[in-house]
Amino acid sequence: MVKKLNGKISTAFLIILSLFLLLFGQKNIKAVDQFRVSVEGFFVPILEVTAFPIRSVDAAFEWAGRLVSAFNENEHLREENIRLRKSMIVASQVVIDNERLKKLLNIREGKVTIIASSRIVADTGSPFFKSTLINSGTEDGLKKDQAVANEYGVIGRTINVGASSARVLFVTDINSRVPVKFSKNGVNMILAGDNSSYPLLNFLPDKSDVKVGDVILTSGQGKLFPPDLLIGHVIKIMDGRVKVKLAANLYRLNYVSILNYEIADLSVQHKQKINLEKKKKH
Amino acid sequence: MIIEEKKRIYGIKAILPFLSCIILVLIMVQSYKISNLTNLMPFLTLIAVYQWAVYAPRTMPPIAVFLIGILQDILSGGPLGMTALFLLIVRFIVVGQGRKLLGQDFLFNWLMFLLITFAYALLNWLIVSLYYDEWQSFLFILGQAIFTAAFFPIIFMIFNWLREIFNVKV
Repeated sequence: MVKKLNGKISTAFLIILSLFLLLFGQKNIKAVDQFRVSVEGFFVPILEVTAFPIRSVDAAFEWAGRLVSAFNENEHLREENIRLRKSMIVASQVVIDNERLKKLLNIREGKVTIIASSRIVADTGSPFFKSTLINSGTEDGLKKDQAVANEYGVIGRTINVGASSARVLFVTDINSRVPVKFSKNGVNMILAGDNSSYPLLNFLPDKSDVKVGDVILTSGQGKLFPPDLLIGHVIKIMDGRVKVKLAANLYRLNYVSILNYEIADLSVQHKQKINLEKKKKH
Repeated sequence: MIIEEKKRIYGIKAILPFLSCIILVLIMVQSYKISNLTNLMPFLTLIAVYQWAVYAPRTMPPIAVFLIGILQDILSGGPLGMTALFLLIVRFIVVGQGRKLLGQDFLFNWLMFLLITFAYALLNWLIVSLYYDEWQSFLFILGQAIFTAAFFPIIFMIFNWLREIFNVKV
């Protein structure tokens, strides 16, 4: 009888504690965040070990798939190689022109560096939260709110960073907002996640000419994501809602790159310019 | 000598249910590289908590359920306390009905679990919608509930086998 009562009291206490955590544990409380990253950091090596069989099976399937499509892919790559050689000549001319024009206009651009390439170690296992755990943290130079991308395009940003692990919020998460633009005309918008595979384009100007297939890039506004990173393309326009298909496949991520973006400090450049002018006068 | 052996077996008995739940949490948060599998991941910890709460409630105390829920919330990146709250409620209901469920056959247990799963999914959907202040799609959580019910016999068989091997009948 006493044991039963004790059980009921402890259940009631833990239910109240869970409710308390649910209501107040999400308000960016430092102790809660610290607890989260400590537990994540502890479990990351365990998750890496337990993921080994899954990785092996996945690698075996990928190898078999490549073997089956090797002949067709070879033909396709030959044709693509010829096409790319032609475009490379044109592109190199464009790069030279671009550099020359930037020098003429005295354009100062930010510096983008890859801080770390990290392995994906855990998923959410839920349709309502779109994030992932990676095996790099402050020890590798990571900080909160850094852009994360792979060779195909933008994936998300870091939200909680521990010593050897970090959580990356995907651009598809309902809490994600990324400043973006159309590549064709530079019109600025916001890419808003809605927990579906295809995030939405918000704050679209009324008379903007949107078509399926339009390419979306990061705008660089907000100083978090470097400008001109590929996001994806418009896949669906329905009842004024514009959906975007991401260039990066979030379901097949193995490694991601964490980017550091240092914007050009115009005040420093301005001072340098004044100093130079003074020196010239002297 | 006999007392020592009993203690040793009790030690394994005590840790086995909790450990099995931790393993299921790790399985749930793995990155499977299959389209939409994350959206349809069955509630494996719900199956485990249900089964241990029916057949060996003393090995699955409220504090163990709370820790399993908190760990799942942390590793999945969800709101802290949400899964812990749901699992504690399930344990409370199941332990209350434990004796009645214990005497029933597998099909009855499966049916009961089905009802609990759909209630769990509905509560999950409702709390998340309130949390985001926006109605979320019910489609995926319905899929998760169906997958959970489908996975129940497999986990049931594995845990039955474990219970027999380690003689967990507390």
